[in-house]
This record gives sequence, structure tokens and C-alpha cells, in this order.
Amino acid sequence: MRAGNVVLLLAILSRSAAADQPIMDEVPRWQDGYGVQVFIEHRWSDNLMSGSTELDNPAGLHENKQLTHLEAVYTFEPWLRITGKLPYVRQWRRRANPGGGTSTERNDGFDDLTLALPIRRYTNGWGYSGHFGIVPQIRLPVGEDSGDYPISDGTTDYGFSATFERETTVYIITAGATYWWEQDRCAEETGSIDIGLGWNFNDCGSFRWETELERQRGGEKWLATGPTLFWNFNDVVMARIEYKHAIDERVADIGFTRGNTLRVGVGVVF
Amino acid sequence: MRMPIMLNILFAVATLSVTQAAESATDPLSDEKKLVKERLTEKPDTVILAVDGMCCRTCALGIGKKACKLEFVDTAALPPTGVHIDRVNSLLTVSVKKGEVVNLASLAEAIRKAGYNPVRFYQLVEGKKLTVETIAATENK
Repeated sequence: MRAGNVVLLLAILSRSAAADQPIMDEVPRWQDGYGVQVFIEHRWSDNLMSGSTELDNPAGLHENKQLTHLEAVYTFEPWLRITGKLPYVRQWRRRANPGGGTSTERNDGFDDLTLALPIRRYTNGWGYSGHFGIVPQIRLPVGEDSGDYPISDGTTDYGFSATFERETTVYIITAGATYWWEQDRCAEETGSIDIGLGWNFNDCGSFRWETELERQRGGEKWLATGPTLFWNFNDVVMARIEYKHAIDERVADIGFTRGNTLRVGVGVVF
Repeated sequence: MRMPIMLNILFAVATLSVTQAAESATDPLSDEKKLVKERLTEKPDTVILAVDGMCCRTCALGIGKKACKLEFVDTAALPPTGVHIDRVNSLLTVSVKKGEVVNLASLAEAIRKAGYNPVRFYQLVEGKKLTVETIAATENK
């Protein structure tokens, strides 16, 4: 099988991080369950591109983002829950000045608040469980949108995801697709698809390989893949660490690619 | 003299094997019942339910969170929630307080509220006879 076909296959079967919901996309499945989780995400890139062409970067220009995702969930019934996600962003970049030389820009602040309503149809049988789901979402403009290096685009956006999961005592398959309708004329509408293939290796842990493809209407693309480890410490505390390595990227004009991503999170559920 | 004894033993072994095979063929739950009886004999103050979909312990945490609120569930005997999830065999063990009677309807409802479908309820009567009660699928919808 050609490498391109493998990438295409991974992309088709991919599971969207955009479709991920607290807590760790796993719990609470029970009526009146609730929880909170914190994820620290680090993205970094010194890969300067024009479209899909890599540019020389002798000045060492780069962009870094550190996001602290504060997320919460309440489950009304096993089929219906509500979630909220509020990221706090620290971003900095070294850029070339129009007159020559380089300078560092930075900005800290909250990004927009995303509210979602995951609706799931669960199927249970002997030795397996799974769901089909839909997730209407809205992104409210509460974020920092001032200055030359804003965090938020300052508009209300609308999203929709479709999700699928099938799990046995041994394996897990997850897939999802998400689309965001951007209200800011300068922002590009975004679509993404994801897949996760995993292994429940004991009562507490699972290992997955997740792949995500994100595309913007303007031509920006991010295809990344990597491992995820989930661990359930007890009936309340669980943690997840995931790494995504960018394997195919493209930017709309000239700029940094999104780069690699490392996410470490801990959640509690009641 | 030895030959008839050997034949008798062979006949007995063959009969036992055929009987067990016939039991397995007629009762697809024979392995589950055997396992359940072993566990209930070992821990008489428990009952066991077969639960569809309970293949991931993390996702099924809610069963314990719901069950521990029931009067008859003994959380001290099986901490912290009074239940044990065997995801491999889809069996849920529930610890019962001494002298209390299991309210199957409320236990089944607790499992459903956690997002799963209870299908069979097992308990030992007088410490040795295994009884099984099928939980209607329609109640799980």
C-alpha cells in the first residue's frame, strides 16, 4: 500500500479532537454525573511555509502556544449531556519585521467559550458497547480579541459533530467528524475528521493510536497522528496523555504550520 | 477381572462428557452459571447480574455510583461502592447487607441509569441452589 493511501485511510478513519468531550470522552455516562478536567496543551512550530512549500528560516522564526483547557460536563441522562470548554492561552512568536530584523510578540488571555450538547444513542450487547452521536456546538466570543496578536476572532461560531464509538473488552474504535461555521469574514471555516484505534489492556488503562485531519476552506491543512495513553486511577480520578506528530501540513498564505502537539490532562468525575 | 473395571471407568467418563456436552448445547449459559455459582458460593452475601455492554470498567463507573445509594447494598463489604465490575465476563457482583432483601427492580433501574442493560439476576437460595431470573429486555429500552 502506498504511503499516500495509508495517510488517506488514517484520515478517513480519523477521530476528531474537536469532537472530544469531557471527561476524556469516556465519562460520565450515568444520569446526574458531572466532572471537570484540566488539559495542558503545548503546540510548537518553526516550520515556515508558503502554501505547501517550505521556506528557509535562517532567522529562527517560530510560534508557540500553551493552552490550559478548563472543561466541565453534566450528564442529564445517559443519552444527553452538556459540556463547556474554556481555554486559557499563552502564545508567543518570533516574527520578521517589515523593516528588517526580528521581534518577539506575545499575548495571554482566555479564548472563546465552547458549549456543546452531545446526544448519543448507546448500543449494549454481551461483551460490547458503543454509540452513535451528534454534537451541536456554539463558540461564544468571550476571549481576548484586541491587539495585533489576538487570541479570539471575537465572533460567535457554530459547530456540529457526528461521533461513533465501538468498544469490546479488548479493542476500541472511535471516529468523528466536525465542522465549524465561522462568522468572522477573515476566519476560514474548518472541518475535521478523526479516528482512534485502541486496546483496553487492563481494567484501568487503554492505549490508542489517534489520527486527526483538519482542513480550512482557505487551504490550510493539518494531518497529525500519535499515541494516547488513558489511565483510570480510581472511581474519581483519571488522566490522559497524548502526542500528535504533524505528518502533512499546509498553510493558506505564508505562515507557521500548526506543528506538533502534546496534551496532558487530569479529570475528576462524580 | 481388570478389563471390566477399565471399561466401566471409560463408560463413566464418556457418559459424563456426553452429559456435559449436552448441557452446554442445550444451555448456552452453562459456563456463566458455573462461574457465577463458584463466586456466590465463595461470597454468599452477594448477588450477581449479567449486564450487557459492561466491557469497560471506566465507562461503567456509574453503576457503582448509582448502586451504592441503594439501602440493601453493603458498601463496607466491597468498598467503595459495594459492587465489583468484571468487564471480561460482563458480570456485576453486588454485596448485600446481612438480613436485607435485594430489590431487583431498583437495582436494575440503577444499572439502566448508568447507561447499561441488566439481563440476568443470579442468587443462591439456602446457600446452595442457584436461581436465575431473566430481566425483561423491554424494561431496558
